[in-house]
Amino acid sequence: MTETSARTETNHLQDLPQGRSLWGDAFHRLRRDRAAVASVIVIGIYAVMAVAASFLHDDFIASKNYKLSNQPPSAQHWLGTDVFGRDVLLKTMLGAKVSMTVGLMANLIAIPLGLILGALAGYFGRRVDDVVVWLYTTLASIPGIMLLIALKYAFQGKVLFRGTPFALDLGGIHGLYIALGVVSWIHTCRVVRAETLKIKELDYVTAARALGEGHARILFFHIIPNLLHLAIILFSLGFVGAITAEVILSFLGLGVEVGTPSWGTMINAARLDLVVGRWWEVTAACTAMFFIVLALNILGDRLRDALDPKLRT
Amino acid sequence: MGAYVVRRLVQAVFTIFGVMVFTFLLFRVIAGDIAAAHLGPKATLQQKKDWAHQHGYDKPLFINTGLEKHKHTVPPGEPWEIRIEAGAPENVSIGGAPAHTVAGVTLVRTEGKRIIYQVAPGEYEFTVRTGQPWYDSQFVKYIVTTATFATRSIITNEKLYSIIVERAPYSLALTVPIMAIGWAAAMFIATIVAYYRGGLLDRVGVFLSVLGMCIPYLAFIIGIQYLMFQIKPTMAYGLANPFNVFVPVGIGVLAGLGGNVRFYRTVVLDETRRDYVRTALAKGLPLRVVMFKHILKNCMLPILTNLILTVPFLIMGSLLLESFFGIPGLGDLLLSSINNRDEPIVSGLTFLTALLYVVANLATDISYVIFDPRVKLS
Amino acid sequence: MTRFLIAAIVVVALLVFGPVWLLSRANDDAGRFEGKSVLYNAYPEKIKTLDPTLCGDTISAAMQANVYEPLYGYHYLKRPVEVIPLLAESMPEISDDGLTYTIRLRDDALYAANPCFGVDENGQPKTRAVRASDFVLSFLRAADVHLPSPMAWSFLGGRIVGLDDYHEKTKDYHAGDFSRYQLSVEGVQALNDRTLRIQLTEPFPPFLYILAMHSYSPIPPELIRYYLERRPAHVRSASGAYVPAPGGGREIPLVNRTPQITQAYMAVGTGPYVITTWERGSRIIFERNPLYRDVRYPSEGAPGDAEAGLLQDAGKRVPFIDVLYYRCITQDFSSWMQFLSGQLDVSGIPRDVFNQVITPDKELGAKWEKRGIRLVTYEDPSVYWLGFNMEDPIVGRSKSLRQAMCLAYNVEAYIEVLINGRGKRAVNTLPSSFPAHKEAGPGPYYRYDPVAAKAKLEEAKKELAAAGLLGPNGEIPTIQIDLGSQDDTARKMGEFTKQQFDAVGIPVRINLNDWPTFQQKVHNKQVQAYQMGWHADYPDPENFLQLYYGPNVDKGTNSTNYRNPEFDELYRKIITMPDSPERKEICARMVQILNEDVPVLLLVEPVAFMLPYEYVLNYKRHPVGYGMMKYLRLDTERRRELQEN
Repeated sequence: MTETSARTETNHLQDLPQGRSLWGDAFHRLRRDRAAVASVIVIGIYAVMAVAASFLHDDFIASKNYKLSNQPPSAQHWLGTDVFGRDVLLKTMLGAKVSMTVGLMANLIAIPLGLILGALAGYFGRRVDDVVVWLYTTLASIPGIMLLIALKYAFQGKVLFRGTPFALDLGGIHGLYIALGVVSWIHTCRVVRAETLKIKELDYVTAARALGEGHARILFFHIIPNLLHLAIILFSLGFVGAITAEVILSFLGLGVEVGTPSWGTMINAARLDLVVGRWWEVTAACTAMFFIVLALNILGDRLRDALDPKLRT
Repeated sequence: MGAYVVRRLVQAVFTIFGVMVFTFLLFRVIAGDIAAAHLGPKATLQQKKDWAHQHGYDKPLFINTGLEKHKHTVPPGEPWEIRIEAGAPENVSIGGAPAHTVAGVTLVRTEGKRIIYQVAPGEYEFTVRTGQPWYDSQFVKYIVTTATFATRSIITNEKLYSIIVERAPYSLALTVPIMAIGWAAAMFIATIVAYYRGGLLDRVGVFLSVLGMCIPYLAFIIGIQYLMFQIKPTMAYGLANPFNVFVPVGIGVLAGLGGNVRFYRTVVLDETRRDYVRTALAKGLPLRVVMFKHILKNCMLPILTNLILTVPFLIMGSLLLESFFGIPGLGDLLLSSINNRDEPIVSGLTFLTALLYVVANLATDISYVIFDPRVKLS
Repeated sequence: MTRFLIAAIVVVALLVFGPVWLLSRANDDAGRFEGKSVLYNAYPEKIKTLDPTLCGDTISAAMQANVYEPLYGYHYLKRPVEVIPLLAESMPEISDDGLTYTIRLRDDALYAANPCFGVDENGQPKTRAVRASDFVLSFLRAADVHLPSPMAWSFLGGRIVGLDDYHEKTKDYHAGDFSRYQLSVEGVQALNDRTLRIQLTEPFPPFLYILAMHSYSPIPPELIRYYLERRPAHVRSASGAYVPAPGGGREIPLVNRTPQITQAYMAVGTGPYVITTWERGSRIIFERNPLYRDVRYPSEGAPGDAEAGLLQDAGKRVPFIDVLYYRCITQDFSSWMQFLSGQLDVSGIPRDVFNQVITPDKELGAKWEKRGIRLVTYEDPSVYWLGFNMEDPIVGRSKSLRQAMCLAYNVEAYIEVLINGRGKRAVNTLPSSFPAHKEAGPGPYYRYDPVAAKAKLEEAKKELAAAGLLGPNGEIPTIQIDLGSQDDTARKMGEFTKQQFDAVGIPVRINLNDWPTFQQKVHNKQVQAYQMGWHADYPDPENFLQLYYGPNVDKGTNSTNYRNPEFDELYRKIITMPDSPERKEICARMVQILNEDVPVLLLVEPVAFMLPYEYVLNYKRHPVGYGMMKYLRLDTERRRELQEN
């Protein structure tokens, strides 16, 4: 008699459903969401293109042929040729490298910076808050154009840590990352700060403080983990912002080094092309941009859905 | 509450000061050869020096020590005649001793304010006691002229104040309608899309808004202006008829629609997930009623505060639209002033924008405290 | 909720239609020019100044030339260009030593009516004839340190007796203290009302061309007293008459005065037009000057002018056109569209549209001819190049490297791909329209020869290796090439340049700068190779050769920092010689020295293409002269016909 009851009890324990963490749950949901999966695949494709670009770059440069300048799409060149006779399809794929790296690097600088400063400002309040708010309000009041131009000038020709593998070519693309990062952390900081102000008042945080936990512990173990989902969403949206910024910077003449293909320079070159009927280069760049931006947007949306604890039913 | 406002006001003053310092430094970094920018490539070095002197760009940046240093190198050969503007020979020294007592330097004569020396080959550093007060520096001059709205353009010598009064109406006539129509249209579309959340309309809406965000602004402008030139050329450029402005306004609205719809939709959807909405729906209220009675009202705060933060920049107009449609507004004035190194205008406009932005920030922060009970201030 | 909706709709409507009311000052000129002939044109950048002394760019010069006239000008039609008297009565009397110029003025040259000369009993502004002392004032202003003249002073500095001292003296005056214009300068004197005497420090034959520049147009002292020292004493009433202004005539405090001519109503000249409207950055309108003297259309021209119909108005009184209406249109897309829809009468051809409009034979496409458009091409006496910084240890030191770079650059492809074939390769530093150009012959390195380039490159490597300047792997260090603008055209040019040098193995890096930064870098000798061009100020080879004269390095005009004693010696010779076969020969020799030393990598001599509608008659571009709008005429009948469809 006792044997059977013991067995049923063990079976009971095994039948209890497994608990899942927020992250595990989110991942599980996303895996089943078709749109999210499609977005991730698209982003993956672009990432692969970006990596492949490094190998194809030299071939692309060598393929110049002045006689084939500005040809419309044809069998040999599916998207036509550019002003130097090079294949536009290849150029668009190579442009992905610039956009992906700019999006990645600029946000790798902007998001952590904004996250940390915002959390500190929201959590500590008073002086820290005053300083951080002063900093971002000041920066935000200056027209972005001026800030970018000024940073570019300050960076011109300078190279930090020259000779090491970590050499930062401030006058080139590294300076562009830093400049974009410096200009875009403000939005993250503001949002994070507002969110922190709310999280700070939540019960378990107040409890932790009452228990006498140190500030560092509270920040690391309670506040920041609750901000990470926000950070991820902001990252995906900031990626979009960086890509479009590169287009605008090319318009201002501050973009990538001369000779590097990028969507920004392709679009910028297009002013009168459209009227003349030369649509292929600008359409190619815009379409390429469109798909990655769409993918990032949808992924950002789905991430928010998956990571938002309020959706737990 | 009152203490909070006071604290924010104090902060605002600090911020404005910070902006002034920032702009001042930024501009000096960008400036490059500001004299050459104004005098052109055929100007001689001496002309550029004179020009810089006239406009005070050779004064010290922050604090005037009352001492000016001039380095001169005389190559081997004949002694050179060097002219130093110093008022009196007592004011000129080399390495602490009066200049004319140094070996190789002889005082020839004085011409008005200029002291003329005959200098043998060698390297010399002349130090001139200028008698200028400590506050005679570029930064102080900048603060004083900006704060009293006395800045004048280097190029046209017009007062910044009158330039703004003359041009701002054009920029505003462009950006204010864009903001208003843009807000109304985006709100309308976002509400519909959020209402049909998850349905085909929603997906199409997201697709189209992202498409709108990706089509370059330039393409919108060129495309629509081209169309207008085919249909009604007189409306396609310029403001001969005030209603022509609605063409660039339309472009501005269309181009911004994508981004705005995305943002508003997000805000509305976020609001839709709140507990009270679930409760209301569970209680059997139709979504339409909940939407209009509660959700939209609560969305207004973040949306409007976001909108208010764009108001200070309205006065700058839209660079591209003004440029393509021949609207003499402020937008292209800022960019061309940066390109032409018209420093007073750049600083003046930036200061004005910063002032407005700080005020707008203050307004939104305070309204948040008033209207959103969840936000508590220490 | 409905209350909110209503409120929202009202607010939005207000915000949308309210600002349009602000625009009610918009410029509707309907009916303003009824019955008059109006030429509609566009200009791509803001006018920088209306002050002749401060004029330094082509747009300001072109605008000012409608209003001001200097002593001399150029014949409209004759080529090669010929100087003719304008406000002077005849060519100057030059002393035998070439130092003294005595010029007699016309007696029928009146200023445009302006209240600064007084107002008569009907409220109409008065005028007076030009006096020699007005020219003296204009020279003094050019030397005035408080007027930062980009060009006017650079041609006079060091050339006129006593003017440099005057320049120094003006430093002792406050900018608003105009008593400095009463000082006397020995080198510029009005002997009487109609005679002007100028004394040079050394002979300078191109001085005649300098007198043909608008920077030296006469300035009446009444202008300074009426507009710059005091507030204007009169104001224009609604009826158009001038009445005394309330508070007018008061002195402006010294510190608030500016010595510059800044407003359109201050632009008092003797020219064929006066400015009636100027909205900065928007538009400028010139209307016929009723007091303009009797000037006739030329009866002679260059060969081919008669056949082209350019002499049919010979002997008739100019100006023909009543109103010149210029709009400031910065985007060439917008101006091109305006031109196509008939709202502009003349236009250039934007690069991207070029192949649509012009056939491969460089002729106008048939469909455009049917729309009534004509093509006019003309040569510009300009040359564009990449300069080398001769003080740079790498490019300055190694002549073989510079020569290799010249041989490696496919200028022909550049012309085809980047500028639609609108130019020809520059083979020596002078424009091909200059006689000395042909005599000097093409430079041996100004051709495309990649094989020879590579051979030269080997030599260069040896040179650099000897100086210890090669990289660790024996390669040439990356050469920085700086461009002066950041727009797409510059980027394409940069990319092309990089391709040229990559093909032969010279590593380069292109830097795009904006103009002021570029200037600073060149001025501080922080460049290795940089983009540059030069448009002839006057048709004399000295204008180009002075760019390589040693002492001009410190002066600022020799930006390559080229110093060659032999060249400098020859320069000092030709600068005082009047034109002669011997002088041409010396100029040719100087060019050949430059051809060998290659301080610059020559690129193109541009050819300009303009598209006037066929109803714009007498259209011929002048290579160096301005102020030729007075010779144009409009066939208003034909224009109406064309605009009907």
